Amino acid sequence: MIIEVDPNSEVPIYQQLRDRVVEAIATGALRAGDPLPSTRALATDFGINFHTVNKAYDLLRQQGLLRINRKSGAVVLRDGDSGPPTPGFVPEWTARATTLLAEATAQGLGRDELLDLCRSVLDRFDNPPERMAAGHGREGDQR
Amino acid sequence: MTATLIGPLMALLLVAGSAWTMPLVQRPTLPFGVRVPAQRAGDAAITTQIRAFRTRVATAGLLGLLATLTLGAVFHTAGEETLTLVGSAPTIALVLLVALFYLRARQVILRVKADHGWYGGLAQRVAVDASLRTQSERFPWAWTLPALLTVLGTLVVGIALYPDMPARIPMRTTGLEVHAWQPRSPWAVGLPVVLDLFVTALVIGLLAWSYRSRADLEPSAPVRSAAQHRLFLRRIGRALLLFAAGMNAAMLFVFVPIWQGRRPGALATTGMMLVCLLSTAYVVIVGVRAGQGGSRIAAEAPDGERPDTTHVDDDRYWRFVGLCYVNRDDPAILVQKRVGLGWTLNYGNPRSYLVIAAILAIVALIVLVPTLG
Repeated sequence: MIIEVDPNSEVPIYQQLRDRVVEAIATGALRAGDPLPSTRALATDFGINFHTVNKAYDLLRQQGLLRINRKSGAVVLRDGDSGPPTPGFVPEWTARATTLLAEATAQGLGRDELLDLCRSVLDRFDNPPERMAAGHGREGDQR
Repeated sequence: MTATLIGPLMALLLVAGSAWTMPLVQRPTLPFGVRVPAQRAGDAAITTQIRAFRTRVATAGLLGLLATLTLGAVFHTAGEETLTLVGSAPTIALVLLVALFYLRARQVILRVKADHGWYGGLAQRVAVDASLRTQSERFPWAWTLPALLTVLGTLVVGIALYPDMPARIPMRTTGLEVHAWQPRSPWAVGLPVVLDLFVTALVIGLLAWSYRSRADLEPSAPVRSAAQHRLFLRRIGRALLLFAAGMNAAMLFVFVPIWQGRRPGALATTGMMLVCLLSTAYVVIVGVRAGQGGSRIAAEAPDGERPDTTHVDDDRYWRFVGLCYVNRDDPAILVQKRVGLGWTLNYGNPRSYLVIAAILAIVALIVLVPTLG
């Protein structure tokens, strides 16, 4: 699974990491039970402080998406097929979605356009571009 | 005369050969240690500089060869030490020239990169393949066997030869002459074997560590470069382990005559040099075919075209003309080199200096222990 970060973005890197992992779970690139790299390994790969990775993993843990075990490392705890969300999730998510939809409406995006956009984003989760789905398995030796 | 010139000539060929090969193994996005966007990797400004560098190196190398032979002919009556000294002068000049050619090519590419705004309009990203960690490339422990078995073989041969070992055997020798002698003792066999084992263990340890260092992925083709990284580790790892076995085998050519109380002579010296040359040639061929980080390996991967994305421009962390990586904010210790093949240390990380101290201590031990005996 490829994780990409923009080091010059205004969005903090821990937030970007957290967002990319959530998106990978949505597309199926990550499934419940899949391991994630250790914080130290991921920090080394990105060339960032490992507290940054810790922060991202901690957010994912708080949202019930990740289990962090001293022994087995970070493991994806749930995905789309793991049943309905926890009770508090829907009202909390609705509040955030309200802000996003309000932004689009305020900028003049029509109701149908907005729904089409939402649908196309959801379609992409079902049929992810190859780049996101690939790299999951082992590449074979070319020889 | 000819024998004395072999050393300087080999050094000259080594310098010219490695400088000439260098542009072949560098990543296309890091010509002469300058980071350029993948979209500009084939730019005419870069290919022109690579061609010019190689032409200059080849010309300077040939002139150096002529100069060495001429100096050898002129000073053929001089003593051995004078001849070695005079014969080495062209090699030293060549090293300085190669550095100059490198700086020149680097300067031109840096200027074109800045003047033409190569990074304008491109999104700079860092890409990481998590599966390189969660399903990491396993170190080929089985491939360490040839290197370790040759050490064991050396020990067996030493023990077998020990009963017939004369009372006095060579200690320091050029192969043709013996400079110092040592008395027969189990140490004469034990010490070289222990040192062989030490060096082999050091090589295996550093290589196993390199396997865990980060892959420098190209964000415009992350899946392909992750696949190339895996293949690079496999091929270079195996090649270096076989190279270590070859070097250990080469040592055997020298040890056997010494243990029999003879100077190694022409046959043993030729055998040693041949095995060394073949092992080196093998590693160079594997390296050139792979390229740094596997950049020359044709790996098929489903990367979509991403004309607007590129690797972060990290030139400011590569000091001393792109040779030294200094980044205090980067927790990595071992990183891939920009120039040449393999890995280097992050000199901005204090722990790198512990690694250097440890390696120096091991090397000092290897060099000093024999002189104590």
